[in-house]
Amino acid sequence: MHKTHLLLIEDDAALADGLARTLGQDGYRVTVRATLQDGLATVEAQAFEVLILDLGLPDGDGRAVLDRLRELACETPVLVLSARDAVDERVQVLDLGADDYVVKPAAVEEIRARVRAMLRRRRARAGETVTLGRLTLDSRARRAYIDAQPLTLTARELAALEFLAVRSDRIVTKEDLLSSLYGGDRDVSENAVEKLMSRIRARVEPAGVRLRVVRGLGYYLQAGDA
Amino acid sequence: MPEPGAPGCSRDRGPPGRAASLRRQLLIWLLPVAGIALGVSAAADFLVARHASSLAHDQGLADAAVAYVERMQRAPEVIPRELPAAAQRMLLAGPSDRIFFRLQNADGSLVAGDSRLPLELPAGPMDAPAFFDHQDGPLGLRGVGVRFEAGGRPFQITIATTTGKRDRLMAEVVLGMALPEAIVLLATVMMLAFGIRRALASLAPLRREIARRSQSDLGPLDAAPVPEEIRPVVDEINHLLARLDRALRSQRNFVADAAHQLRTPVAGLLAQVEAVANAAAVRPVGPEDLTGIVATAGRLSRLVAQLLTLARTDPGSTAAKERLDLAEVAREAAEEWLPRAFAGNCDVQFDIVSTPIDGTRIALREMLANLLDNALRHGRPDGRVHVACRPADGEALVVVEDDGPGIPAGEREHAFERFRRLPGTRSEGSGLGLAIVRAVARQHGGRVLLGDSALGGLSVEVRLPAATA
Repeated sequence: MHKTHLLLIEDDAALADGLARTLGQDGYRVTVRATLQDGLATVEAQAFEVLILDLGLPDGDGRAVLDRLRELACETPVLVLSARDAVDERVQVLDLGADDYVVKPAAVEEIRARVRAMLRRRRARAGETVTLGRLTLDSRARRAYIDAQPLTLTARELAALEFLAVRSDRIVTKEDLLSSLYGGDRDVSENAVEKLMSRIRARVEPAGVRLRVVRGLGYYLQAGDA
Repeated sequence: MPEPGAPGCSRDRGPPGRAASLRRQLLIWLLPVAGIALGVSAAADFLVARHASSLAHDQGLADAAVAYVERMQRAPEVIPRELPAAAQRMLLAGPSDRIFFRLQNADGSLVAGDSRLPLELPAGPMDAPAFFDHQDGPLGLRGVGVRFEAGGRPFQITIATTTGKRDRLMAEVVLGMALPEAIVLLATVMMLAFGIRRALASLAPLRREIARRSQSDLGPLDAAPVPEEIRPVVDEINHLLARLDRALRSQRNFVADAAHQLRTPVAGLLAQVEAVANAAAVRPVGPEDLTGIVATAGRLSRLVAQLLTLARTDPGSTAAKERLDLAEVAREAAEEWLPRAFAGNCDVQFDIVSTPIDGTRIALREMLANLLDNALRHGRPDGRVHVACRPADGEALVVVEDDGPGIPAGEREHAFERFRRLPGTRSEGSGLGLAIVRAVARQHGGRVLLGDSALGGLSVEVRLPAATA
């Protein structure tokens, strides 16, 4: 089976080794590069599904990789690792096209979760089949399964689930859902959204997927594969 | 070898646009005063000299006239055709000086002497000399006229001279007075320059004391040998030194505390790793042998992150502030901490409305993260946490409440101290959370209040100045 290919550009040998081993155990194929030059060369030569990028490389600023990816019009999601949190780098790096940002020292667990979420969001955006715990969402066929069992969902429920899957592990507000699912129809009450969400929650729970209510903020789809 | 920029390297060369030198400023103000004094005294000299020399000259003229009159009265039949030689010598300064005289009778007709002198005399009593100035072509004349009787007939004698003698006298007087004055002025200016230099040189001991200081010696400067005018400056420098000293002490304490706090988990980690290594020599090692290591390393990692946050949250820092919505920052922090809340089955309730503030995003995020961390850490299992953010009374208000044990009122003052943990708690907190919250609040000009939560635990209320419109 095709293994998801990750590129890890990190110069600290201990961190690179630990991350590569853990991610390898998760079933990813991990390529490690320790310098900016090697990293740039690899990015240009090969395609990856996720890039994990350290900014403080011995031969330059990792941001050069972000610039290069943008020039190549490459949509590979990038998770930035940085020890430099003295300035508000987060916004800056996200502006440069990174998808997520983790400040060192970060738990490996945290990085694993972010990578999973990034992959899931990317696939959901691309209309590819997405896996959330034991739930499989096939956007093209407009079908959902738990394990191999088809899950019957209304068109609106499926659309809502797809919308949430693209934003899994993020807060989704009721307003977002209203405008996306009902086109901002003013006659639709927040109550309707709540009912829809509680129906979806009941449907996906058996798959180990949790649709959490964050009281006062909105909803949070937890893939449940952590 | 002195380092570039060390004291002493550039003390005489300031950056362009610096304030003018004190010496120059003092001279600029004092020299015109001295100049005016000289001008006034020179004018006074001139007036006095002119008056004195005029008096002397007039007296000479009057004496000459009286001598003539007396001679005529003694022998009215002999009319002298000349003025006495003694009188001429007395009134004339040199060959270019000239003397005129004229004797006329009552009807004004010339009896003897020069017709060039004016006939009209200033009216005066008999025998009293009347003085006059007369311009005869290019010649300026000073003269005297006396009406008198000789041999029963009325006459009038007029004597006039050019003013050479008088002017020379005046010049001598002026010169005699002005020269010493000029010398006095010159001496004054020199003394002034010297005095200013001396006065400013009294700053040298202060400069030497500062230059001699090592960077670790932050005791007050000795203000005693410093001129009174400079003492306020020295006092301010001493206040600054005291503040620096406090800041340096607190930094040193921080580093010492941090090193101590890091040493403990590092030692623990080492012990655990060694234990596993030893165990591996005698039996197969499983994941359960490593859970302690993972937990300790995780704690260490969090501690380092918090120490970094605290270290850069300098209360005096002027980090660039931007217009932010505190609600948005709270949402970001919440997103990061929600998985832990879910894992602990904690019910988090948010009441967040848009709250504009001028602040540093990363610091505020760190503050909210620590508030949430504390609440989740100290709250009850399956407990409740309440996060509120709203503008209130011109302030930006953030309240985070939990249902944990809270902090007894008597302990609250100490709760903000670094590495402070409540006595008898088993929590794995670093004791830095509230210290960070307060540091960030202070950096933003705000304050932190601890209280009792409606949920039964601790309520942490942060009040920051709202954004200025």
